[in-house]
Amino acid sequence: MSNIVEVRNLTTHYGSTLIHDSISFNVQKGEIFSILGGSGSGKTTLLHTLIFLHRPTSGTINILNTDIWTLKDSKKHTIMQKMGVVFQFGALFSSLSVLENVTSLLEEYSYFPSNLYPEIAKFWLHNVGLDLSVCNKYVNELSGGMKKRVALARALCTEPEILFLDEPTSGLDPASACKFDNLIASLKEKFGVTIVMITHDLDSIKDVTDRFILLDNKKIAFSGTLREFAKEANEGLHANSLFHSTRGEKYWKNVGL
Amino acid sequence: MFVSDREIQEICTRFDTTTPPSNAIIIEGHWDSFVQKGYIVALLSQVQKYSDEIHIVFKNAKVGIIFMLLLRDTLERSEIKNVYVYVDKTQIIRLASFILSSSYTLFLNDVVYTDSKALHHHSDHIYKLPRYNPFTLFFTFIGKWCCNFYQTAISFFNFMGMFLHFFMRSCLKPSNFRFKSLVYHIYEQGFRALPVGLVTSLIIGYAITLQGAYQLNSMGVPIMSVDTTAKLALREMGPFILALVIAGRSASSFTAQLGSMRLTEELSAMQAMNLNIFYFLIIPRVLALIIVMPLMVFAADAIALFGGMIAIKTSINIGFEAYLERFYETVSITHFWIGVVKAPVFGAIIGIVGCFRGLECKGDTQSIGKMTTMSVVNAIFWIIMANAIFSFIFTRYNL
Repeated sequence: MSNIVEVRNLTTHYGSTLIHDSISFNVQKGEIFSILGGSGSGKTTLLHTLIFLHRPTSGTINILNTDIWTLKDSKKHTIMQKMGVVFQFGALFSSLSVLENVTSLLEEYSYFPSNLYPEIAKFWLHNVGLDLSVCNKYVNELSGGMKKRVALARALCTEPEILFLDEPTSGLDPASACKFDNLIASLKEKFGVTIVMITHDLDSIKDVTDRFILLDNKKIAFSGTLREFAKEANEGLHANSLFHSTRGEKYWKNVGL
Repeated sequence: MFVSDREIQEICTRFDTTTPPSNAIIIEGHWDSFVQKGYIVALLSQVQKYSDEIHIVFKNAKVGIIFMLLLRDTLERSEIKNVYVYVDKTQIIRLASFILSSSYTLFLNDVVYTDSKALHHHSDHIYKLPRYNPFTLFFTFIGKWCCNFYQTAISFFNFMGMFLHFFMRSCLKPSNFRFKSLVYHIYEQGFRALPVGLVTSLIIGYAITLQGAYQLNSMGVPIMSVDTTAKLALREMGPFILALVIAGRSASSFTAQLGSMRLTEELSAMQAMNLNIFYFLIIPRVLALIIVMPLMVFAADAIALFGGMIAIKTSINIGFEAYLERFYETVSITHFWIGVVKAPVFGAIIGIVGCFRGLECKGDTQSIGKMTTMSVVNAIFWIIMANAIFSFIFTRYNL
């Protein structure tokens, strides 16, 4: 498998605060990759550096073999069109209806005949598990979980190669979170989308994630699969990570021994 | 919607044994959602050349769902009976169900491909946009407007009642007044607004006096321009222009502040913590404007008169001394007090409208914008209204 995202020696500052200190990792094509870390460990900032929102201080980020931060503004769209982003609270456009939200990117940039857009939007809305009666609703009429699904449909509407998700299951009840996880896994299966997600939901790490990195104290404390993590943790490493709590222990204690 | 993996493999392996005819359309490369227009036009014109039968070969192509939908639409329109598709990749076979149609037969690598092979079909979920009759739409609009107006009126009375109630309680127990907050708002809404308020007064004082002076000069009573402009400045322009400026500035800011507090659930939190929003947020804001408006009117009057002085000096050459002499002779102090008396009322209108509209905001970003617009429009409207009423009362009593 080839690397779809390559991060090398990334250092990020927020104002004068150091967020990441020379971190490196790879995301392989077609995998579900999670970025894990406690609150304030810089997960969202890391995501923002990957999606052109926050310029890193130094280091390189290659997405689809292109160094995204040396790219000219006029060329950025080539990469942006191949990635979809779902923000934590959906970030839906409140002046547009659900259907218009989903087709917004196609309306703006696609040359395909516009009579096809509603059909494709409905396909994705149906696929993310929404009833089609939401099509004409406005964003303020939706619940939190529905907003996330609509945001996912919007990101998927242009069939991106990489999908970035910011805490997709936070604020959802366990059943919805589980459904969302299954949805993410099925997207990978059916469409071969590479998924990079930020999460601190340990269940999603266990159920759907192929590999993850654990951010801690400005560095990557761990990178690999949960099985590898369990092995290391049982040997006494990662004593201060967020796995080291009564909630976290069940994911690694006596696993993979 | 998706064919099972085994079948996909089966169909895919058949690609090697089939040979498409030489006149087939070959589709290569990336056909994602952002394909250039030229390619789409070229494809459509190619498809239209065929009738009855068409052969399409996907060779190392990467296509999206939208491409398949386009293909289906085009094939349906071109009255082709048999569509032969040759596919070398499983990814495209997965999407084959999107080009299924009742108007032609689809052959996938020389085998008929039908609905039954697709596990689910999405056409069951066709959803149509509801249509409205303009007649119903009109009455719905009227009905909604009336209902809305009624509800707003009720909630305004509710707001006013609560405001007066808590204001009276604060008066009885002055420790309920939040002096820090009050001082902050006096500074923020009053002092900080002085530059823009005074500059506006100066410009308008100058401009209006200029017009009046020329007219009165041509009538042969240039000195009368002092009386008219000074009275005008003190009675109307000073308080009124200032109130318009403050309405634009403070009413909008109150609404936006309270609206975003509603959005972030700050107001609900305060309610749940038994912190009275009237004591903390509303009374300081309204009271600050009531206190600060007369003071600002004083400054605005002075500046407007000064603007008038310059205008008269430059246009009809009546010097400053002559102006002041005439001013003391003819303009009584009553005119000044009339202007100042109106100011707190304008301040109260601005504060109350701004806060009321802020509390009216729902929990979405759209309503903040809508309510901010409404608050400024309403505040200005009620200022004009109050000014007219004052004008009527003062003339009635010959002031």
